[in-house]
Amino acid sequence: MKDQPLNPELFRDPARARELAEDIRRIASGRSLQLMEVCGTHTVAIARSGLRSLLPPGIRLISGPGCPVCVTPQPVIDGMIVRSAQPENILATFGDMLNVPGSFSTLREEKARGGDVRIVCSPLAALRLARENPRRRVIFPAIGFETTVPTAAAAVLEAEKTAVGNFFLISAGRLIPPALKFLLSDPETRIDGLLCPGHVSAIIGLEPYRKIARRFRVPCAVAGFEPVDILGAVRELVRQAVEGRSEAVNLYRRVVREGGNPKARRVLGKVFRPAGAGWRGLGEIPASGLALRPAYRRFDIDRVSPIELPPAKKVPGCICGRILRGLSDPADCPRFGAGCEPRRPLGPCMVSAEGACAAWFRYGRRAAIPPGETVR
Amino acid sequence: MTAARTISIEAGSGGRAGRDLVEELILPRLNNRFLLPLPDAAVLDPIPGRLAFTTDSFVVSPLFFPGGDIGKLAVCGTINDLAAAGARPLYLSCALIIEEGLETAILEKVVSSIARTAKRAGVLVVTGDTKVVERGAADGLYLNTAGIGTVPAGVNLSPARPRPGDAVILSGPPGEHGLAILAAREKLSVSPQLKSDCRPLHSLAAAMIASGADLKFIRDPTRGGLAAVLNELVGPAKFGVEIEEKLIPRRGKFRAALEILGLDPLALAGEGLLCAVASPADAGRVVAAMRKDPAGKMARVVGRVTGDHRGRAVLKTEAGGERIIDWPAGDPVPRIC
Amino acid sequence: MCLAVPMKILAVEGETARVSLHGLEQEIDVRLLDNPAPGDYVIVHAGFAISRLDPEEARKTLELFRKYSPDRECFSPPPSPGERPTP
Repeated sequence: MKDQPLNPELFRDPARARELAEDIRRIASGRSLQLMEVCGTHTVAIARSGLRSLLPPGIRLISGPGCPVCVTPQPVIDGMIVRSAQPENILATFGDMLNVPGSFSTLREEKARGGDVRIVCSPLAALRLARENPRRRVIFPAIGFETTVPTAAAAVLEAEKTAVGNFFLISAGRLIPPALKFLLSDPETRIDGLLCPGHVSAIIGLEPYRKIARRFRVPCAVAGFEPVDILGAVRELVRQAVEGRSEAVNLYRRVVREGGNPKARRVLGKVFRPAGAGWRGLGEIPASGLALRPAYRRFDIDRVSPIELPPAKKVPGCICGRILRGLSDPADCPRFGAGCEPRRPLGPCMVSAEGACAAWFRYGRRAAIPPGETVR
Repeated sequence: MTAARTISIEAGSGGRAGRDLVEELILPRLNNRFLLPLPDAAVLDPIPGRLAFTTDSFVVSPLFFPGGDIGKLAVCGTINDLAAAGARPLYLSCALIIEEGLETAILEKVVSSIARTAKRAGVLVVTGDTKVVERGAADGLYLNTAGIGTVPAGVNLSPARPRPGDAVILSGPPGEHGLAILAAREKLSVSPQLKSDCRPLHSLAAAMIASGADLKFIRDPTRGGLAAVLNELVGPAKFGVEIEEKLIPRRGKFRAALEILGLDPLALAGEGLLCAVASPADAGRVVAAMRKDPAGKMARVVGRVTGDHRGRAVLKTEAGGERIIDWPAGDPVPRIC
Repeated sequence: MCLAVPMKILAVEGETARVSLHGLEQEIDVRLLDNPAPGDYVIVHAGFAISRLDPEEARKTLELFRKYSPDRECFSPPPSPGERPTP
C-alpha cells in the first residue's frame, strides 16, 4: 500500500515516535500515571514494537479486559473442550483458543487425542466446514467483542438463509462498555486514562466513551494500532490527565466514525441480545454478554444439546483477575515465570499471545534493559 | 472407478513385496554405484579432511506444499545442516516410514523429488531403508535423512567464537517456510500462493567460506525460526545480540500474510536461509559473496553482537523501541484477536 | 482484541470482494459495509470488511501527531463535522 497517506509505514516512523515520546516525557514531567490499554491487540502492538522502552518510567501501561482468551470464563472453555472430544462434532475455532487451559485439558490436547479441532480465520470458514460435513455438527465458539461478534452473527444469518442445519455457536461474545463501567466503578481501581480499542470503536462509535469519560472523569482516547497511533494517544491521555480534563477523543478517525458502523450493529442486534455474563477474573457483569435471540436459538449448541460439566478448577495463586483490573503487574504474581510461562500456561493472561502476562514474558518486562544485565 | 494402487503392509516385510518396492519404485529413481548392489552398508571412497555428519527426521503435513514436498525438504534439510557446519555435502542416507495404504503414486512423486533435489545439489543417496507401519501409526509418510560432508581446512564455526562488535548476517527473509506450511495447512485462500523457501544452501555456504572471511557461527533457522537461533547463540554466552527490525529482509506478500494472521516472522521456520556471525571487518565481504548466490540475493547485516544485555537477544524495533526476542512458545497458530 | 488489517478492494461481487495487501489477494465478505467499491481501502477482521479507511483523516491524524510546538497549542483534535459536542 504505497498510496500516501494510508501507508502504515508513516505510522511507524521512528522520528515521529521519538518526538511523541519526548512530548509525553515533558508533559508528564515526572508524574506517575496509570493508563489502561483496553484492547489485547494494543497490548501485543505495544509489546512487539517495544513502546514501553520509549515511555518515561512514571507512565505505566496496564492491560485491560479486551482479550477474549483472557476473559472467557473457565466453564465456557471447559464446554468447548468437552464438545471437541465428542466424535459427532467438529470444533471450528480461531487459533487463539487452542492453548487456553480449561480445568482439565486444552483444545490442542484434545486434538492430539483425536478430537476434531479445526482452526478457522473467519466464522464463514466454519460455516463452510458445516456445508462440507453435513453429517457432523460444526461448533464455532463465538468469542470476541463488538468487532468480532457481528461476523458470527452474519454467519448465523447466512446459515439460516441457506438452510445449513449442522452449524452451531457457543455464544461467548462480550461487550466492552459494560466491562469498562464495571472496572471503573470499583473503588480500588486506579486508572488515569483509557486507551480505547480502535476496532471495537469502529463498530460502536464514540458515544459510549463520552458517557464513560463524563461519568467516571477518565480521559478516553480511541487509537489505532501502529506505534505512532499508540504514542499519539498516550500523549493525549497524559495531557488530559495533567490538565485535569476527561474527554473522549477519536484519534483513529481514518477508521472510526463518530457513529461507528450501524450496519454491523444491526446485524449483531438481529441475532444477539445483551445478557448477563461471567468474565474470568472479574466475575458476573450485567448485560455484558451476548445471547442468541429466540429466533436463532436453534444455533445455540448449549440449548440444542446441553452438557453436564464437572466443576471448574481454580489455579492456586493466579492473580489474572487483579491484572485485568489494573491492580497488579504480571510480575507481581507468585506464579509468573514460576510454573506459569507461555510454554506451560496456568492462567489465561499467559495463554493468549496478547495476554498481559505472555506479552510481559515474551517481550520484556522492563522499560529499558540495563546494560550487561539479564532481564529474567 | 479403479482403486488407486497403494502400499501394502507386506511391502515392509523382508519378503518379495519389499524387494519389489525397492527395485520397482526406488532404485529406478535413485540409482548410483554405491546403492545399486543393495548391500547392507554402503562402502564409500576415502574422504579427505574433517567429516561433518548429521541426521534429521521429517514429518511435514501436508506432504506436498507450495514450493516443495517432504522429499525435497528431507534432502535440503540435511544438506543445509551440513552447510551450516561449513561442510560440502557428499552422501546422504534416506529412510522411509510409510503408512500402510499410502498411494503408490504419492510415494513415486516423493522419491522422484528426493532424486531430483539430490542430483541438483550434487549429492548421492547411498543407502536407505523402507518400513511400512499399520494404518494410523504414521501420518502418510515420514522421512529420515542423514548426511556426510567434508569441512574445508580453516573453517572454525562455534557459538563460543562471536565477540562484541561482530556482525549478524541474514541471507534472506525469515519465516517463509513456516508461513507457507501454515497457509497450506489452514487452507488460507490467498493468491498468489505463498511458496516455501525450501532449497539447498550448500553453494551459498561455500561462497561465504570462499570469500575468505573469518566466519564464526552459521545456523539455518528452521524450527523455532530466527528467534530460536539467536537465543541458542546468546544462551550460555557472555554477550548479547541486537537485531534491527528495519534491516530484516522481507517480501511484500509474506508481510501481508504475517499481518493478516498476526504472526511474528522471527518465530517461524525458514528452509532456505542462513544466519551467520562474522567480524565487522569481514561482514561486507561475506554479504557481497552471498548476494552472488541465488539463495543469498537479499543478504544483509541485520544486527550485531553486543557486550550489553548478556544472554539476551534484543530487537530494535522499526518504531525505535526495544524488546526482547524470546524463545518461541509452541507451534505458531493464526490469531484473530 | 481484534486484529484487523487495511486492504484495498479490487472487485466486488454481491457480498464478496477481492482485496489486496502488498500484492497478496484474498476474498472477504463486505456485507457489514454500505456500498463497498473497487478502490476503497477497508479494514478486514475475521474475513469481513468492518470499516472503510479515509485517507484525508489519515493525513490529518499524522499532522496531529507531530511534535508539540508553542505555536500549535492544541493537541486534542478539533471536533469533526457532525460530531456532537459534549453537553
